[in-house]
This record gives sequence, C-alpha cells and structure tokens, in this order.
Amino acid sequence: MKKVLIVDDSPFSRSILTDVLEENGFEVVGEVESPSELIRTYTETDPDFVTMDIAMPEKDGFECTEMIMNHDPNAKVIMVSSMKDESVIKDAKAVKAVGFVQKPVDAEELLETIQFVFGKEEIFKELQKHYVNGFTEALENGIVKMTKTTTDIQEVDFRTQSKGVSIVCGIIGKYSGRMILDMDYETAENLSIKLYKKDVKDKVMQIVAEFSNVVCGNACSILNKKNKTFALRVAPPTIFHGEKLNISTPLIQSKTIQAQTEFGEIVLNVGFTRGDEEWT
Amino acid sequence: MDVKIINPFIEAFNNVLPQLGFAKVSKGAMTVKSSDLQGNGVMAIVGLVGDVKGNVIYSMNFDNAKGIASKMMMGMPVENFDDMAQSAISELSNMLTGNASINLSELGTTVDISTPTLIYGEGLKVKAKASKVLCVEIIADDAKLDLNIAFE
Repeated sequence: MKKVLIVDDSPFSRSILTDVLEENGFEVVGEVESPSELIRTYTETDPDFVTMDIAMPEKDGFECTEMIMNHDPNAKVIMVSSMKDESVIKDAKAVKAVGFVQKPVDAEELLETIQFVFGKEEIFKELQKHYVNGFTEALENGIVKMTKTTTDIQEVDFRTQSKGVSIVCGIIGKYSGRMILDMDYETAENLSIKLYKKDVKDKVMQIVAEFSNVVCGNACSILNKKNKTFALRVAPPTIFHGEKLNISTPLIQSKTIQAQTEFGEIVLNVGFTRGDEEWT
Repeated sequence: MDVKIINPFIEAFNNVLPQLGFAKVSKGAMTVKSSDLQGNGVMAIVGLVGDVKGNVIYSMNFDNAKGIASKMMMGMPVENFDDMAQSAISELSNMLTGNASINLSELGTTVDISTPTLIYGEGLKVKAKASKVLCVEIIADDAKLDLNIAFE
C-alpha cells in the first residue's frame, strides 16, 4: 500500500483528500498544515508521495515543495490546487513537482495522476535494471559477430580521461541518454582493419563510428524488446579524438563496461536520465 | 540541409541566455564547414532524433566556458573548469537544445533530444556524421561560443 502525506492548511480539503485516497487503497500517513512541522513529519512518515496545496498562509506550496526536495531529491510531490494556469504549472515544474490535480479534486483525475507518476518510475527502474546487460550483450555481439573474435567484458569504474578516440551516440526515447565508446588510436585502427577487411587509410574514424552506431542500435533494440514503451532510438554518432581528451558526465548516472579484445581495450559508458515529466 | 533550420537554435539563445543573466545576445558570422571540426576547450554535444536527425555541438574555449559558467552561477568566481562548471555547461546545452526543440515543434518539426555529453581538452578533433556542418558564432555579453549543427 502506498503511503501519502497531505499538505494543506484547510481541514476540509484534507478530509476530502483523505477520503478519496483511503477509498482507493492508499494509506494517509500524515497531514501537515504548516511548514514548521513539514520536514519532521515527512521524515517520520516516509511517504511514497505528497499532495501539496498551493495557497497557504505561511509558505506557499512551491516553497514547501522546495523544502521537501532539498531534504529528499527523490520525493514525489503532486500539486493539488484550485488555481491551474500556465504560470502555476511552470512554477510547479520549476520546483520539480511530478503532477498537478485541480481542486475540487476529482477522484479519477487524482488516481490517473498517481498512476502516471508511479508508472513512469517503475518503467525507469526496469530500464535501470536491464541497460547494463543490454549494452554488454550488444557490445559482445558486435565484437564476436562482426570481427569473429572473442572478448571478455567486465564492469569497471568510469575514467574521465579518454584513451584518444571517443564516439558519442545520443539516445532518445521514453528516457534520454547517451553512450560513449572509447578506445586508443591503435585499437581503433586494428578494429577497423578487421571490420573493413581491406586498407582503411583515412576511414578509421568512420568505421569505428559505424561500429558504435551498430552496438548502440543493437543495445536499444534488445532493451526495447524487454519493454516496448522504452522506445529507444539512436542519434547519429559523433567522433571526438585527440591526445588530451576528457569526458565529463554530469547530469547523468552512468555505468561503464570494458571489453578486452585482440585489438585492445574498448570501453563503453552509458547512462539514462529520467528526464522532465511530461505532465500538463 | 535547409539553412532555415538554424533559426530555432539561434532563437533558443535569445530565449534562454537572458534568463541566465546575459544582457546582450547577438549572432556573429555564419559559416558552412565540412564534417571535420577542431577546437581547444569545451564541447557539449546533444543528439536529436525525430523529423530531423543529427547532433548539435556547442563549442567554446576554456575562458569562455568558465565565464559562462560563472554567469550561470550568479557571478560566483570560476577559476578552473571544475565539476560545477562542467555541470553548468552541460545544463546550458540541455536548456538551449530543449528550447530549440520547442521552437522547432512550433514550425511543425518534431524532435526529441538526448542527454548532453561534455568533452573537453586541448587539440580536440571532431568528425560529425553529416556532409556539412552549419556553424554560427554567438556573442553573449563578453563571451563567445560556436553553435554547430550537423544534420544527416
């Protein structure tokens, strides 16, 4: 049973929300009417989500949402307010509220919003669970099938320093992300000779880019087969190379795997972001 | 590639940069380059897939990257291109491309954008998957950066 904390200064509104939520199988673990008790009650009750009124006397719902988000960045706050226009929605999104329900509360609308919030969360968890395996399988497939050699792949720590050649593939879908394949120049050249089977001359970069594109595309289709709502697609690869290259990955939690091959080491880093909640 | 496609991206600078505290945003020279780019400093890359497919690369030297990051952090001094500064420039590329995608959708072109990737260093060489890359210099107060658009 999901636990709810209700933040609203009006006893009448709190009682209506409590009724709707309890009738539909939620447990109301707390009711807060002023900001002074907000964080203490949030911590004590540890709710799965919060319903948040906007117009309140001491601090408004946006400020209270900020207090909660500062305390718990993963908190899920659904705004519940009689005002609903573009500027209010913009403010709600700015404080990272995950949904908006207009007062007077319609039970169906509230339930749909809750379902949307948790459905999205659950699908993201599913992606997080599978993506490392998906990319490992795709990298292995790529090496084994395209070069007819063997490889040993392991998860490793991320290194910001590039080995020399970094291919970036943006990923788009229900969640956006990106993959980076990194290797040194020698590995890139050896790999492309094996893939192209003839003199590669100045085509090394294009060939490794195409290899990356195939690996990333294959990984996305492996993951899309797990859950078609991921709907992952790949942006064209871009190659960055140079002796002193650094890769930075803020805004994203990523995982790194490393393949030992007869051409050298190939490092793959991939991650996804939950992205903006598309609610209106 | 239609040169008009660049306008939603330039508009994004006009929409986003003033919100970050820049007073004056203007467009400098526009050039068409081959798919090979070079640079010293910072490049933030965002992929696009939808009615058009490609990548946008925002490039700038370290001084400009630090200056822009500082402005984004309310004038906090930025001595090194550290984690905070990297995060600021990534976020900037995300905001600009996100805004550009909204501008594109108003013109009837729908695209989704990927998470940005930040690459930095000396002697950066880039090969984009596009026959031509459109490059526009953007001047925001005393900072300069290049907007590179590489569509398939």
